Amino acid sequence: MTDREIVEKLLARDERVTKEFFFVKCRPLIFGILKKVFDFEANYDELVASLYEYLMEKDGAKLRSFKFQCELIWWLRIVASHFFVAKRDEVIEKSSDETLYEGKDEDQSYEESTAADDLERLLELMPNKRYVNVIRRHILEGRSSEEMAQEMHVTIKYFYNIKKRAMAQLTRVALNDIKKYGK
Amino acid sequence: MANKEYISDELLAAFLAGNTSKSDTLKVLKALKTDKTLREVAEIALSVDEEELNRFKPLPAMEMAAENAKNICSVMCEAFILHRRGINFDENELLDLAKKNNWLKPEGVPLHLIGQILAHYEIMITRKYYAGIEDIRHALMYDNEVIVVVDSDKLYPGREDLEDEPNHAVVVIKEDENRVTLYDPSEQEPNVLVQTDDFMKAWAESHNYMIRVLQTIDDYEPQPIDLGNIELTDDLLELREAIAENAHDVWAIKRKQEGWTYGEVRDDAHKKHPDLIPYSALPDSEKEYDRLMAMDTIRLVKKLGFNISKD
Repeated sequence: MTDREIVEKLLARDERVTKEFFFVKCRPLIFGILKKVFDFEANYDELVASLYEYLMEKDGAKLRSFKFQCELIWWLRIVASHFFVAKRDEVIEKSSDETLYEGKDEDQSYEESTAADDLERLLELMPNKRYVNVIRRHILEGRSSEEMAQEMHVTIKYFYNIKKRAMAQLTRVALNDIKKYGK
Repeated sequence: MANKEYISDELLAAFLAGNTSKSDTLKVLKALKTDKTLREVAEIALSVDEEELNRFKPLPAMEMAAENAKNICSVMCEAFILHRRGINFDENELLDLAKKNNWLKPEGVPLHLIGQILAHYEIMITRKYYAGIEDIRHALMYDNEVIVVVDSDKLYPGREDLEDEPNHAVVVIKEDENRVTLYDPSEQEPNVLVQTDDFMKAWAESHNYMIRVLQTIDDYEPQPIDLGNIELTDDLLELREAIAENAHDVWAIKRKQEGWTYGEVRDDAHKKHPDLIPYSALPDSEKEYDRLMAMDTIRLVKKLGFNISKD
């Protein structure tokens, strides 16, 4: 099933797809996240039920907010991490009308040139120069995945893997940099 | 909130997947500086143990062990072992045998078919996924040869590693604390030394798949695939009962054709068996055996990456 079909079935509350998705396909991923978030043995069924409730409340508002900009499983990785961190910190305010963690994009004073300089510095710190090249050409210069795959003589599928690894390395470098300089 | 970028879950997910524009990429990087929760979420998302997730992924039994255009690395590993065991063979005949039996396909040899040549020469083999370095040590201690499947690009640091996949068979000759000695069909030297760390990374891509080549029947230690982490949905659990019942009937009809009849006590000489009764009349202890077999068969199908769906 495609991601769109899965989302449609989840929104239609298809019992089989819901069980298969949350309790079979995503089980290892969610287990992994729970292990990282909670330092005690968390009740999987209970917490997944609460995550499901969060995705489905208000006529599935959160799930409907998914716009397929990445794979569903990647989106869920972030949503679940965010949700369980919030759950742990007990900061979920159900009374609020605001959709949790949705972007507001209100800070228009964004200094793009400074940020671009920062990114250049982070790229310098990345150990794998091939990954740097992927970020530079694909993200900064806007070459398509198809063009990149052709240029690198790999299939699209493998290019997707490479760019995920490149972004993971960039993010780790950024997080270390922030820790180091206490920003 | 002043001076704080709000980043949606989808934007962060798209960023980590490498699907954001330049402007959104810069926006996420800026937000990471100011938003502690966002940093924690990104760290968690990146740190979910890929190795652990791997244990839940389908086994690569149908993947091909193939290094080069000839795709014969696994055949060469088996030939290497035949040679070590003093068995005479003609290399071309060996290749013909592998091709004729479809063990060697145009794309290579599927992982689960490695070892068929040795079996043809009546050499006993066992297979194991999720093996550890201790399993290799154990096998070598008993003079059992070990074939493993690796990602060849990870075996040798400095090589460009484009794809995470098991693609090459090698024989492990020796292992000490930091180094592994291999017979690698794609290398010129007869013995290749690699660092254990590199070997482990390369081996992980096949879910630590090893073929142990036994010397005697005493070396046989059954190693069924660990299926404990395969969850089954309710409809598949119901399927278990149907499979168990049918498996019993298949067994019973075969026995009856061979002249066996019902007897209160098993008597091989007179072909009497207490289980030659309908499944429904079997004691629970016997039904449990059939159910376990059925359940593990369904789990194995899923573990091998196949989906079972109802029309």
